[in-house]
Amino acid sequence: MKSKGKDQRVMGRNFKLSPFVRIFDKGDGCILFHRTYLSIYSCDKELKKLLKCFEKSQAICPDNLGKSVMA
Amino acid sequence: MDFLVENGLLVDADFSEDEFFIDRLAQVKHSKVRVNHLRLVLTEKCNYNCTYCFESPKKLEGELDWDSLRKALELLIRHNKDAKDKGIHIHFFGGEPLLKFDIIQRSVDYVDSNKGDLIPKYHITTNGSLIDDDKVGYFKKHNFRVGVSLDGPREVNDMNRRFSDGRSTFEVSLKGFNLLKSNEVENFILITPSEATLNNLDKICRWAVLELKPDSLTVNRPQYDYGWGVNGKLFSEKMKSVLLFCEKEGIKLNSPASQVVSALKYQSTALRTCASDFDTATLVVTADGRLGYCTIYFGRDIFDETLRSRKDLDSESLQNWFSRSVLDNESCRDCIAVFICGGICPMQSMKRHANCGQLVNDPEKCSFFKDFTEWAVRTLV
Repeated sequence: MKSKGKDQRVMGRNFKLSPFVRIFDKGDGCILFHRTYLSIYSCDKELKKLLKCFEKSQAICPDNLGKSVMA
Repeated sequence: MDFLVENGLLVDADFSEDEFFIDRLAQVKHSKVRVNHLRLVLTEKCNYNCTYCFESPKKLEGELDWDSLRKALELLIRHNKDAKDKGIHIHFFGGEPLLKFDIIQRSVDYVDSNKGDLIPKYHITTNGSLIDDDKVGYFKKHNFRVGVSLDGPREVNDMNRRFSDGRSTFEVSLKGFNLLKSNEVENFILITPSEATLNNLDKICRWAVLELKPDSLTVNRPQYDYGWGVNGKLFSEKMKSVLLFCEKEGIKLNSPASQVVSALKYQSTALRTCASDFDTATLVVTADGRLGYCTIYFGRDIFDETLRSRKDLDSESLQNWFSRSVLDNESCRDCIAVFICGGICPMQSMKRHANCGQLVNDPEKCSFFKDFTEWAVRTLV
């Protein structure tokens, strides 16, 4: 799964990482596991960076995400 | 971002975990369960005296009387006659069920005469010692699935599985299994892990697959007493190896490990305790004619529902039992395997604490499911 950047539908809303998601490191990327839907995703390093921002923060509005990902 | 949100990986900042669980719990409480599977304990007697058997310490010798058995079958048929899914399962169990072969035949005759458009599937779990040509012919004719309990090569099997007088059971069980194989009766080998055999469980399973060539392999849950009785982390390690080996050999594996893999593969969320499978469930009929709300037979002392007075398999107490959910217990809510393992076993809690309302974790079971689930997530992606 690759990060596609910001989508218009999520702009202006505040998001947090679901409390049901577990992130496992895997080399450059990571594995995402949703433990209530039992879904598993393999993520590339761009998305891993994005997720790290959400891991660190309580809630993020995508409008402010650009700087965080670049940092 | 869009993908993360659509798939629930990112949630709105005000998302409430508690509300989510309350909603899920309500789904369980308001949905009904249909019993499509009976496990019939035909007798508590056995010609073996296995160390880990739930029957052994009690020395019970009860036998299920025909009136109770017929009633159970009648209720199963009636309970399912309007169901969309026409499959019903009848599992002959013991003790050693082949000690009551005449009752098995009578049961099959009764079901076949009264089934209507239902499609019965017969199962039996046996030690294999009483299998002969006649029984094999019967199993084949009635499309039985026959499981033979054999814990491994002679030296391993005989550690726990012996006749009452101490003689080895290995050759006798093997002979019975080979008769099934040579006559192409659907079969599986049932291996029960114990503390004494756990270190070699992977080698034992390899031996069973390569030497016995069963249609499928079942690795039992460790036998309940006051807990799993084996190291959960080590059991997980061994089952990783067994699972990969069975995949390589193309043999179907039934085990707590395959429960995890199947849940992940099909994203089939277990909201109830493991006693029920989505909207269907198994009941056990004890040798003294009572109903137990669990696939696993723990011995007769745990059940209190008398069969003879019942008009339907369904009852308020049955639906109450199956409305138990993994989410009833706060300690499970943060677990990686929360919707996989079925949560705390109410039967085991009852055994350990004489109170099934007080759900208490079995640390070895938790250790197994947490470790194996994390491995499966990392490995299966």
